[in-house]
Amino acid sequence: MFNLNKKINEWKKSLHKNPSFEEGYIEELESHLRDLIEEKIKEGKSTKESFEFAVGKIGKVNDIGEEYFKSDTTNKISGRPSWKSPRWMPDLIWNYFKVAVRNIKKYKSISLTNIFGLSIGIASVLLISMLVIYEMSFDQFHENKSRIFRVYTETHRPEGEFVMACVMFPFAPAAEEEIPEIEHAVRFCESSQLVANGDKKFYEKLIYTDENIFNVFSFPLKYGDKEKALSQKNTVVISEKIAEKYFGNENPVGKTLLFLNKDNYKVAGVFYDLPHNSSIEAEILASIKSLYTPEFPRLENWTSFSNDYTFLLLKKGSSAKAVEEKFELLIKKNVEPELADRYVMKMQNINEIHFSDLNYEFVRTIPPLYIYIFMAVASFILFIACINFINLSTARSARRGKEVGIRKVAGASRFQLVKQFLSESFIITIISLFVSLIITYYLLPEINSLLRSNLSFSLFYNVDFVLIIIALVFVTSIAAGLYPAFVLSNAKPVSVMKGDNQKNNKGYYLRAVLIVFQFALSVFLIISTITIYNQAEFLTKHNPGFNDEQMLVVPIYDPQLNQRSEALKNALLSDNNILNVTFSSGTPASGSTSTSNFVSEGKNEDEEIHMQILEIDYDFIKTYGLQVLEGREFLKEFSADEKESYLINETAAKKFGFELPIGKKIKLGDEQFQTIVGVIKDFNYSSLREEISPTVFKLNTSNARFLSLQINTAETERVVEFVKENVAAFSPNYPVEYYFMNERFENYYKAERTIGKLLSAFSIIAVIISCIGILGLVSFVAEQKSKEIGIRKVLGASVGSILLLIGKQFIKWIAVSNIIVWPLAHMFLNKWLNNFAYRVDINYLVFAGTLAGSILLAFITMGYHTFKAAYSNPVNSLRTE
Amino acid sequence: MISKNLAAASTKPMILAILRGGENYGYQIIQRVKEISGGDVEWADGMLYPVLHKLEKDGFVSTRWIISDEGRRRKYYKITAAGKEELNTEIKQWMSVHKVFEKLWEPIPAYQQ
Repeated sequence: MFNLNKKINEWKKSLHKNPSFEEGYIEELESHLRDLIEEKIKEGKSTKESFEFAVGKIGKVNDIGEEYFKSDTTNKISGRPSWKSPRWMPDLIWNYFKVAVRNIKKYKSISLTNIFGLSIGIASVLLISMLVIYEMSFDQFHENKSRIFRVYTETHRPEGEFVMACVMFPFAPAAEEEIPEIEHAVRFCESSQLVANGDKKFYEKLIYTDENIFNVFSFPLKYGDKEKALSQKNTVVISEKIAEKYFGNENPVGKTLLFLNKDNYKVAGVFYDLPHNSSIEAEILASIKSLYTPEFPRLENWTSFSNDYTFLLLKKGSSAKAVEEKFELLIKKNVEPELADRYVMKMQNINEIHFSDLNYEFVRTIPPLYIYIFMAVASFILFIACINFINLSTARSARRGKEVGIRKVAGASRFQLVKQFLSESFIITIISLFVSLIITYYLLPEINSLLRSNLSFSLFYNVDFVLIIIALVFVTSIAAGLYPAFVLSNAKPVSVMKGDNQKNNKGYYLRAVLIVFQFALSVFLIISTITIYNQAEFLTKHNPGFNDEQMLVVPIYDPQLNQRSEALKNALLSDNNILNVTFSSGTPASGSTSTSNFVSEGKNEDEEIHMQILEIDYDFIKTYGLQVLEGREFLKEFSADEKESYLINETAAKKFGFELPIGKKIKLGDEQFQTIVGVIKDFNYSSLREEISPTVFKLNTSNARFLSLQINTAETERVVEFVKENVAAFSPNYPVEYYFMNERFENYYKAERTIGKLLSAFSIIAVIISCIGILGLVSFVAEQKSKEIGIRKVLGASVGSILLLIGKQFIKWIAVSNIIVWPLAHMFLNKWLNNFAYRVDINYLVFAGTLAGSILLAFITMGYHTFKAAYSNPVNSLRTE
Repeated sequence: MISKNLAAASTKPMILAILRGGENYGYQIIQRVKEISGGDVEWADGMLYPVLHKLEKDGFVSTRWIISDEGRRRKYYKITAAGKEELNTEIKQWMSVHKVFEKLWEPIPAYQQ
């Protein structure tokens, strides 16, 4: 039933809320309203309809109020009703600041917790931003960067697709000649050489390149003419560093360097050391024409790939896509028809090469995944810190209720209070920013040495970085401060004054959700870190299938040494600590691989299989401790082994499809068929990221590039000296280098170790910040419940039950967060581990352990405050009222 | 319907003119305006009262509360001498505007309905 009087009273109440209306005004309006209603009722409308019509007819209460105010006010200037606060009150800003500082001082422990967490969060984001900006700056210094492209090769073989950075040697000049869009084509052909100037003799990385390199890349010359520098055969352009190393401070242009003890190269120029953020790393550039000798095998070969790389400078305005399409024709024209489909040439801009992931890479790259991981981790930490801020601020909302009440009574609007609280979080963020800058300053050298980067505070001249910092401060202070500002400003003056607000438990559920989230992030980080560590350990400790512990490897540069290899062997074996010695064309982890196509007897030529070839002597199998599964190894008594026999590994046997490989015949290219005499158990030739390649072992004692020695590690230093002396005696013109096999293998997994180290640092930080958050909340809960605890103790509750009372909610949340995060962590880690051909299984004990650990940690964190609360004398908490 | 601005400008002279015909209260004033204009001039009813309030403050109308037959209290408005004077000024102003329009619009039959 529609009660007209009640409705009219409600309407009148709404008028009362507006300060413009005085009692008389309202009475007059009410009379008007009633007249309208009566008129409508007379017209036959229902009471309800009439009421609604009349209210609509009179108009909006606030508009009428405003008009009344205008006719009443004497303040003609602003026209602003007195109960409305002015938009702009500069005096208040100073007040906000003062109050903020006072509050920070008053709640010291909470403020310190917030500042500590936020500084570390901001510092992490700063460091990662610096890293990202640094990585993005790679190769940006090339003036022609938008037009420089790197060509790479996609090979489609029957056994699968393979993408590599190498390009066939004759590709670049042919492309430059036939594709009009190409302004210049530059090849890089990597090699390692013995370089000498008098007594100064070192092995150096050398890059043979085309003379137009300086027209494509911005590598300015200090001495020499960039147009002519590499136009002559046997000329080099060297970096400032190399110039100083070999020639001291004099200008080396016109002088010569001796390569491989026989070839004289004239120094035609010196280039300024390449900037740190260049993906291309070069110290010595030699004229590629020096390679053009009749013996050079790749000169006209379109199907052989070695360490040759090609870069193009396109003409202005030409399309990369069109050029890529023309590659196809070029390949069709130069590669035999049956092989032409195998090779697809693609291009990438120089901006992309630092982040690319090609096989046989030549430039310095960083996997983008790592950058993403770090970006995610840094935002996790900042997020955890913001959650602490939110939780601690909302938890103490009751304490600040009186302040809010008084401010409201004095006329503050909700919006103004929100502004006030936001300014507090802003000030805390600014303080944290300064602390984080100090942290960053001290951490930079560590990060630089760990990541081989060159981060520095000079980034402050980078507009992007400064913008990131400003955005960071705003985003952080709003993310952390906005919700608490709304909660805190919500206090009702009346209930605050009455004291009702003290038991305010607002935000309990939100706090629970946030803590769960916070711990979930930390748990995720811990589980990931432990698993990544396990994987790195596994990779290092994994038995590669051969003896790598006692292996000393000496690369052989002297081609003459092969003829005296037996004599050198005997000389070396005269030492009791040298157990075995072998010469081979490659060794595991040497990075030296050679591949070719094999056909087994009875198969067509087009069914050839791509295999790795390793040329070894009689002692290789013995020295490396490889296991012969079937047949025999190469033996001196079988004099025909060199021409008639092969050994293969298990993978090769599978690839050929041999069930009984012994006695089967295979052939390499156009050579004669040779018999398989033995099968070797698989071993890891390179990183465990890669599958074991099918390998054919060929007996060849005259093509050795590595000397491997199995030594007794008891007297390593002396043995190394002995080896160096002997090798030097046999090849006097070449300095002796050496390395230990296991160190090489460990190097493969440096990236995983670095990530592991950084991640563990980050997850420890995340856990510490989360625990500090819990600490703050527990102290708050303990304080809030002090009366309850007092009463319980008076009634006979035990300390244990009180510990449980406070602790159980936190434990519950932490357990929930663990369980929520398990499937996510499992998914992520599985994906990451799948990058490895050899990987650990995900260990569920790590999950369980993290759960137990986090609960234990939470208990320890809560310990002090809960024990204090549980052991406190109830008299103290109860007598205050 | 006339525009909001014109309605706001014309409220004061209309009220004063209506009150010149005798003492009256808000509801009746609105009814009169509606009646005379044939519904073309219509105000948001609530907006009338702040204007009346302003006229009272300026001394153009005097007021008193009268209890009606139904026992409802109503505020009656009566024009004062100053109000009449003000009305005359207003009339002069409106008439001069009116004259201008008359002259301007006379030769254009399209505007004469």
